[in-house]
Amino acid sequence: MTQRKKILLVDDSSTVLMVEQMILKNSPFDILIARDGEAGFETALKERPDLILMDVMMPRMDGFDALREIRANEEIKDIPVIMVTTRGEGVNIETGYTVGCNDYVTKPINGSELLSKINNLIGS
Amino acid sequence: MANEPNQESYVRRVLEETREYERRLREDNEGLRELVATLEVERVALQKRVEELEAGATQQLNELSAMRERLTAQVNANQKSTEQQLAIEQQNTNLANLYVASYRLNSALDRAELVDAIREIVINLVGCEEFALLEPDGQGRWQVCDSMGLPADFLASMTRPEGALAGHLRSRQMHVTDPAVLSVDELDVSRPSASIVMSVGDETVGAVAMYRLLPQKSGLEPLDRELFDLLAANAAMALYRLKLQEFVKGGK
Repeated sequence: MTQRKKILLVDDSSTVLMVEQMILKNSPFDILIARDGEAGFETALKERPDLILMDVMMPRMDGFDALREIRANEEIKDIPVIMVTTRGEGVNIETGYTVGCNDYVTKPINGSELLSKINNLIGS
Repeated sequence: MANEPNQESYVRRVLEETREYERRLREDNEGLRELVATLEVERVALQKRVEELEAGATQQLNELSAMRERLTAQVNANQKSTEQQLAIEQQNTNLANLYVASYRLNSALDRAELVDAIREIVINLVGCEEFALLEPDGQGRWQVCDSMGLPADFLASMTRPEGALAGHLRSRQMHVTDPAVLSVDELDVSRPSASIVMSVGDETVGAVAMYRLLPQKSGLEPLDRELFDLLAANAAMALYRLKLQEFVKGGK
C-alpha cells in the first residue's frame, strides 16, 4: 500500500489556509499546517512533506527566509516549494526563484492552477 | 540438258528448305500463341490481384477514415471533458472562496476578528490592497476602522466623503467600477473602484471602499461581485450583531 503524499501549507491567514484546504480537499494528499515561516521550517523538518505551499508575507519569519532555511538544510533541501505571493510583480517572483522555489501562484488563488502546479511537481 | 538434274535438285532443296522454314515458322507461331495464352492468363490473374488490392486499399482507407473520425471525436470529447473539469474546478474554487468568506464573517466573535476577516477577504479573495473599512460615527460622519495601502491624508478625507464615494454611501447600494480602466495616476479618494455599503434594515452599519486591485488582477470577475454581495449581507449582519453584543455588555 502506497503512503499518501503530504502537503504542508504555510500561511498566517486563516482565510487562505481554509481556501487552500478546500481546494485540496478531494485530492489524494494529507494536509499539514503551519502559521508562519519558522513553524513551517520546523514542521517540514519533522514531517518531511512531499511539497510545501509557502506564503511570502508572514510574521516571525517570512516565506523567502523560510525557503532559504529549507534549501540550506541537507535533510529537506529537495522538497518542492510553491510560493504563494500576493503581488505577482516580477521582483517577488524573481526573489522566489533566487531563493529556490520551484513554482509560484498569486492570490487570489486559482484552484485549477494550483492543482495543476502541484501535480506537475509531485503527481496526483 | 546436262544441267537439268542439278536444276531439279536445286528446286527440290529450295522447296524442302521453304517447307522446313514454314514448319519452323508454324512452330514459332504456335509457341507464341501459347505464350500469348499464358500471358493472357497471367494478365487476368494480375488484373484480379490488382482489383483485390484496390478493394483492400479502399477498405483500409475507409477504415483509416473511420478511425480518424473516431479519433477526432475522442479528442473533442477529451477536450470537452477537460473544459468541464476546469469549469468544475473553477466552480469549486468559487464555492470554496464564498464558503470561507461566509464562515469567517459569521464565526467572528469580536470586532477585531471581524475586521480581520473582512481585511483577509478583501486582500486574499478579492485581490485588493488599497481599501478602507468605514463605520458611521452616528453624527453624520464616517470613521476609518481599518485600511490598507492608502495614505493618511486620503484616509482623513474619507471621514467626510465627497464626490462619487459620498453618493455611493448615501445610496446604501453597492457600486462597482471596473478597476481595469483605472491607472496608478488616477487614484482618487472620491472615486473608489467598488463601494460596498453594509446595511441592516434601515441602518447603515459600515462600508468598504476599494481602490486599485493587485497587479495580477486584470479586472473584477463574477466571483468578486458575489463576494461583494456576501460582504454586504454577512458583514453587515456580523457588525450589527457585534454592536448589539457590545450594547448588551455595556448595559450589564
